[in-house]
Amino acid sequence: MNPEFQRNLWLEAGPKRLAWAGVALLVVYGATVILAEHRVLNGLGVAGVLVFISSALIWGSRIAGRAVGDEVGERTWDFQRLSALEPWSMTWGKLFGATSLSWLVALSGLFFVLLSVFKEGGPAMALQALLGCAAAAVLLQAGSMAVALLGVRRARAEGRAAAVRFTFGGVLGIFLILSVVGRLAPLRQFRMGAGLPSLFSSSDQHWWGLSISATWFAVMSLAAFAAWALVGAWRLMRLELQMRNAPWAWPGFVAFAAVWAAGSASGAAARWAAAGAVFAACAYVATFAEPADRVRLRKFVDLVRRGRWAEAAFDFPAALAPVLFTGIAVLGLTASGADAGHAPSPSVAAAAFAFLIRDLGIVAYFRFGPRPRRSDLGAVVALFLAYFVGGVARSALLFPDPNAAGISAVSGTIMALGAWTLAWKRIRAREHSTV
Amino acid sequence: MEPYISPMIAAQDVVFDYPAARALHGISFVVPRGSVLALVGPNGAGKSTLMRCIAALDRPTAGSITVAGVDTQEHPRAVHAAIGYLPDFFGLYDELSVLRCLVYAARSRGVPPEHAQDAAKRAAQRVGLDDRLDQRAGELSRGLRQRLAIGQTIVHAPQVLLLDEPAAGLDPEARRSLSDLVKRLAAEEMTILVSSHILAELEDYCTDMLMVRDGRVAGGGIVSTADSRRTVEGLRVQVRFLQPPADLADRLQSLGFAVESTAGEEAILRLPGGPDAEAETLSRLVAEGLKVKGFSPLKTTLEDAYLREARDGTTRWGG
Repeated sequence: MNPEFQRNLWLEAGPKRLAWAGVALLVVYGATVILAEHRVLNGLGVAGVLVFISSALIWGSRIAGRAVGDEVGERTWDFQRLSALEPWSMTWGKLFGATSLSWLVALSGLFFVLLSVFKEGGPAMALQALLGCAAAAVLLQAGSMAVALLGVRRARAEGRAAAVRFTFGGVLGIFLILSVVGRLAPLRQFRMGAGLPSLFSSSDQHWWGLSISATWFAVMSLAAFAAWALVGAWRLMRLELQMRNAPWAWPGFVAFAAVWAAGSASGAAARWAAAGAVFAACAYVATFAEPADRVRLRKFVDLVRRGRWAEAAFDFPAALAPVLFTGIAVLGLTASGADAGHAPSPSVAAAAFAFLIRDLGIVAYFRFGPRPRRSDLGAVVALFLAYFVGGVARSALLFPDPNAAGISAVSGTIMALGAWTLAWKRIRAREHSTV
Repeated sequence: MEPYISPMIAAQDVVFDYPAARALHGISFVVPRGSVLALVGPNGAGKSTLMRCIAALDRPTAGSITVAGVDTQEHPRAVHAAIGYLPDFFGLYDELSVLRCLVYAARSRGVPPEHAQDAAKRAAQRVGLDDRLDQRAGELSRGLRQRLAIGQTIVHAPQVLLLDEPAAGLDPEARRSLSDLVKRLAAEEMTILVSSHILAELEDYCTDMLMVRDGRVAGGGIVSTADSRRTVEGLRVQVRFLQPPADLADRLQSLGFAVESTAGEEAILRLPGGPDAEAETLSRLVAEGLKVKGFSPLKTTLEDAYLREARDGTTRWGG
């Protein structure tokens, strides 16, 4: 047996904890049977949903994040990093071992859910429920672990102790925010909102010319993103175990997310726009998520200057791929021709691209500053102020104005150059003192 | 010609940068196989950073380190397999029993499942915990926790053991126990690198010493601890005279001796290095008509040598 899984079973699923969980479940289901009277199966189905959500989605994802965070807090992480276990063994052993008890509890809930769904909708619907529930749980749990691993790397680079208390909230928050954002009117206009919101839609989905039932689309999407969350956790675990990652997973995910989102848009221009929006969003996420390690960044630039691309690839900044992809999307949008009403014009897209580069420069300037602990907040405030001032002034110089896109593009480019000049000054500042 | 001893750890121009500061400034040294190296230096000198780089837990900004012939940056996982590392602040799985802690350590460090129990019990025996296998780690005293942590680091029989401040916070009995354990492991030809502030203990078992100051090697590099007691100032001897002359200090200086101090019938002399220095000095004193009633070398401890280096920062320790 995977020793990491075994250890977690010893700690999480001991006889006492199993007994207590069993008693709690008996109370829940017993009370449901008594209260449901003649509609016992329906009542158990509802109880099962609640048990599954609270156990697999909330409790499980919290534990999955803490599976890494607690090791750091209890100073056992270095011992684990010296382990001979392969990164994948460490990942799944930790992920499913730490959540073993929550899975056992959740499975009891899932059992009643499936029983209820099978009775109402037959085997196909039960299969959808099974796959959908399992994928959602894995997505949140693996995502939570990946976020915790990112947090550990960021904390190490910034010379502080890792904190995981917001891990679960962060993952759940992102999940919900993306669901809501996709429903916003401006995005619906470009028909890119058929992504996450489609998970909650009942009509058929048209995706890259295919007509897919909404439920199956949601289930398959959840499964795909769950698989990517597992890949993300595994790749980050590799880095923690001091292995080097060739840069394919993150660009692969970014490309997948763009293809997934673009598939629901209609027309080439709208698809390029949808893909570009996903790329840009990923660039922002990467800039904030990646450790502000200027030593590594300097090394990357040095290797590139010397033409040692193969070595440089291992230190590839995460934001670079989505930025390049965004540039390609802008070119694609230009080549496909603007489709008024469904996609922004190429000049607006170019202006938005310039402002994206400026924004990343501002974030880099703050994150590579002397106080990395407060840098994220500083960067967010700076971006907010930049757009707030631009919005109040209603000046094409300060935000990508569709009515004066050319001016915005030039202004954005100049500001981007300024922001990156300042950021680079901080990145290249040498360390002299001894800690 | 001395036999060639292959290096177990070799560091070459190692530089390490934290985001806000440079911790190591081009450190180079070689640790021979089977030696027990004391890594000493003041707080913030870079000892722990250096150890983490050797353990392939942190990647140096520049330079290279090999452990058992394996480059820490090229093959960090192979280095992990070859070493046992106990950080200065370590944790244990408090809810697990001693046996389960050790079995997990063995399995996670690559010991096959069928041998894990035996390896765990052997490690428990080596650290003196074989009578507490069923006790929870959280119930152990600080000294016993230290032993369990060391047991976890040696359960896979590593070639190199890195101990960062292992004696910190231990009571005298636990320190003695730790000292005995390191001696036993050293006798099994394990290469051991120990950092500590408690130099008197290192004296018991260290064969070599490396001082790090401000992220740089101080004192000229690794020296044998035996040599370190013979500083460039020479071997110190205490001589007691019967009816010494009133101008004892002048008389001794006129004979070419380096006189550290005189008090009553006693004088402390510094002798040059070399195996015959003591015998030659004694015969010269007697030949000059001085009545010697006592002649005893004074031991210069690691702490003396360290403090001397710390005081003036320029003294070279032989080697």
